Amino acid sequence: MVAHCCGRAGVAGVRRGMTVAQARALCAGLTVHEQPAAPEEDEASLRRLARWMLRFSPIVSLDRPDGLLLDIAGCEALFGGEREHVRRISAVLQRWGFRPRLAVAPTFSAARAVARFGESAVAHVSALDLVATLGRLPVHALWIDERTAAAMADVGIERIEHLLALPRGDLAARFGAPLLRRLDQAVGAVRESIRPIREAVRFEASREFDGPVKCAAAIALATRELLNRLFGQLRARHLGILELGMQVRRVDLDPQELLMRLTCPSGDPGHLWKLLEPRLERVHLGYGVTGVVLRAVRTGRIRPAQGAFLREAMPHVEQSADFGELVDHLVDRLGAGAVTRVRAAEAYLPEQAYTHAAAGEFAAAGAADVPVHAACRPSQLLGVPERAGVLSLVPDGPPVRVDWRGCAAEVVASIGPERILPPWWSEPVAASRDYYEAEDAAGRRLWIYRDGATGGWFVHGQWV
Amino acid sequence: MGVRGGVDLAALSARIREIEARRPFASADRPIDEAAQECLATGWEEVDATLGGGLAARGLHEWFGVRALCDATDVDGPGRMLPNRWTPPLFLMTHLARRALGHAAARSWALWIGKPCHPYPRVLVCGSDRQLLERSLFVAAQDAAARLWAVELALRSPAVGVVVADGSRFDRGATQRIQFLAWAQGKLVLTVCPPGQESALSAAQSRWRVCAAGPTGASRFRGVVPRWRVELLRCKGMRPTQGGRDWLLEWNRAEGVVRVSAGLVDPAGAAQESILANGGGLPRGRTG
Repeated sequence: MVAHCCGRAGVAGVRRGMTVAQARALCAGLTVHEQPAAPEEDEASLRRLARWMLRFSPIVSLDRPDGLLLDIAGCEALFGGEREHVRRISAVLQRWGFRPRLAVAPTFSAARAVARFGESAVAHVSALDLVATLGRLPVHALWIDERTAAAMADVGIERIEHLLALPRGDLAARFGAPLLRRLDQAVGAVRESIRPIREAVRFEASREFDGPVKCAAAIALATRELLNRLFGQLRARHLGILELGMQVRRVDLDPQELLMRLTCPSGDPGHLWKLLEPRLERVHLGYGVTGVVLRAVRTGRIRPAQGAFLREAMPHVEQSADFGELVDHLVDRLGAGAVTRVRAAEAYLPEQAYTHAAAGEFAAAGAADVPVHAACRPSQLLGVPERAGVLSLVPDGPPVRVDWRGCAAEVVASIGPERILPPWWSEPVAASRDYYEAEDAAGRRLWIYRDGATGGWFVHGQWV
Repeated sequence: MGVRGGVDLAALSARIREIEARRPFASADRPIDEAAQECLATGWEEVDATLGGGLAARGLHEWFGVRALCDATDVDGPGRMLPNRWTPPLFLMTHLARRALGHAAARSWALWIGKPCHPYPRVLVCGSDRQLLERSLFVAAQDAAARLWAVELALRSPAVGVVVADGSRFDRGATQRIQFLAWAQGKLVLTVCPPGQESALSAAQSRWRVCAAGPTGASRFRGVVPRWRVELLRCKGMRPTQGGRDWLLEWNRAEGVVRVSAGLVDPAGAAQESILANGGGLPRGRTG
């Protein structure tokens, strides 16, 4: 498959994604460089290059798969003018073996179009000649999909100037609103935004000991100090820890890694220490510890807490932090699966109508506002429906006598049936169930159902 | 009163007379303990009147669950009890937890500790009120030690408004710790316990026995109505009363809440009420 092609091949009709044989048929004498395509590595390289380009502009964005967008407005003064700025960028990229095509234009779309489809390797487009420059470019330069481009080619629209000459209403009606939006973004009639990359900030605190330390109290003291230092870094950015990694470096053993996940972003070193301390006590120190590293693997924004004045006006902020700490302690001792919250699900089968989700995941996902069925349900639902001996006077009639868990009694009142059907799209398709609320002479209020396939009766819950 | 050498009955009776003389006879059914004035109204008028306003809002309240019946033949008379099988009174716990959450600070949480006391989530929703469903945290702690630890942790957390826990195998020491902590933190703790634990010593503020009330003669016409006979076994600081300390509660299907039974039952059917309570062989002695 063709992963990349040069401009000459592109003019001949070679496109990314077509087979090599197709490309050879379109372009005689094609030189093919065979190399396994690695889009992830390409993306990573592009991202590294983008981070390096932050020295030329504070706002750099990826223009996938092989371009970068730089907002250099205001930066030219630092590099001796716009032309000198662009020349330096070009020189650096050439020194690294790239063959860059650069364009400076009033809009991102125009710069991208001119750089990719313009004639010269370096182009400067002013606001005055923006429309004229764009007009000479093919419609592909507007970053439209192949289908729209082909539809325009069918009616003879090949360059952007052809588009600009046509009534806007007709264009939108025939080729869709996205084309007009692209066109307006290119000429600057509509604001265009980019997603700049951000420099990764690593929050880390470490301490190297002068020699191997075997005293647990000293290690604990150093860890507490590191926690305070780490939280100091985070506090300055209004961040809290969601995932904390700790590395204990030992003389004779491999470093031991500890990882702690929290429910809510925490900005309290005391809370983290309570969770960390028992784990640290279980670490095998070997012949001594040479260093300790604490790292905030994942962080989250903390809502600013109210000071002394009108503190009671924002109780939910503290409540959420307190709740997060409670869940963290429970999960730390009992496991994530043992601390759950419930959310309603879009299902009619009683055992599927509500799902228990781990409290931490629940907080991340947010509670979906699924409507709750108005039907009456028991307070206790058995994990597995239990078979019961039920007598009814007529086939498919209501129960008149129930024998369950060794207790047989006459049914004095019943309500039903309420037929619940499993989803038809599930595999294998389960049988329907006819549910009855039944009160027997023994004082039990049972929720029983007759299985539609076997005709057997089961107790599924009770009102207790 | 003696400490080591026995009890001085005369001094004890004098002390009781002194306590009873503090209040007029008209308020005989009010709690004696002055500090327990902060109450959580249960919504059951007769019960609240007896308790002097409701359950003590800070403290531990034990609810002994419903024992399961076992009889291979017809249940015309009282059923035979299964020794170990019981069900916690989940409807009553849900009702009280909802009221406690309304009484607690805004955005508080209800903690359900121990799998047996986790109700089916549908009953946590009452009409359009989903607060209890959305503010409930379920903790599946296995053994008594883990449950006790979780209860104490929850009581110390400012985010928690009410704790409902499985109180199986909680000894006196455990109940004492919970009671003290609940008192200090101003929280309500409801524990559901197996009926066999009634004879165990406990430091709970109040102890309740719940029995499934049998069908009445009108059941055929009124449909399925879950009903329970609730008996107050002990309440700290309450004056002994001559009146009954048991009530018939029933689930109001339309409102989705538990109410005191209206008593619109025919006398013939009333004879069959509470077959568990009257004929089930449950220990009737009060503890504590």
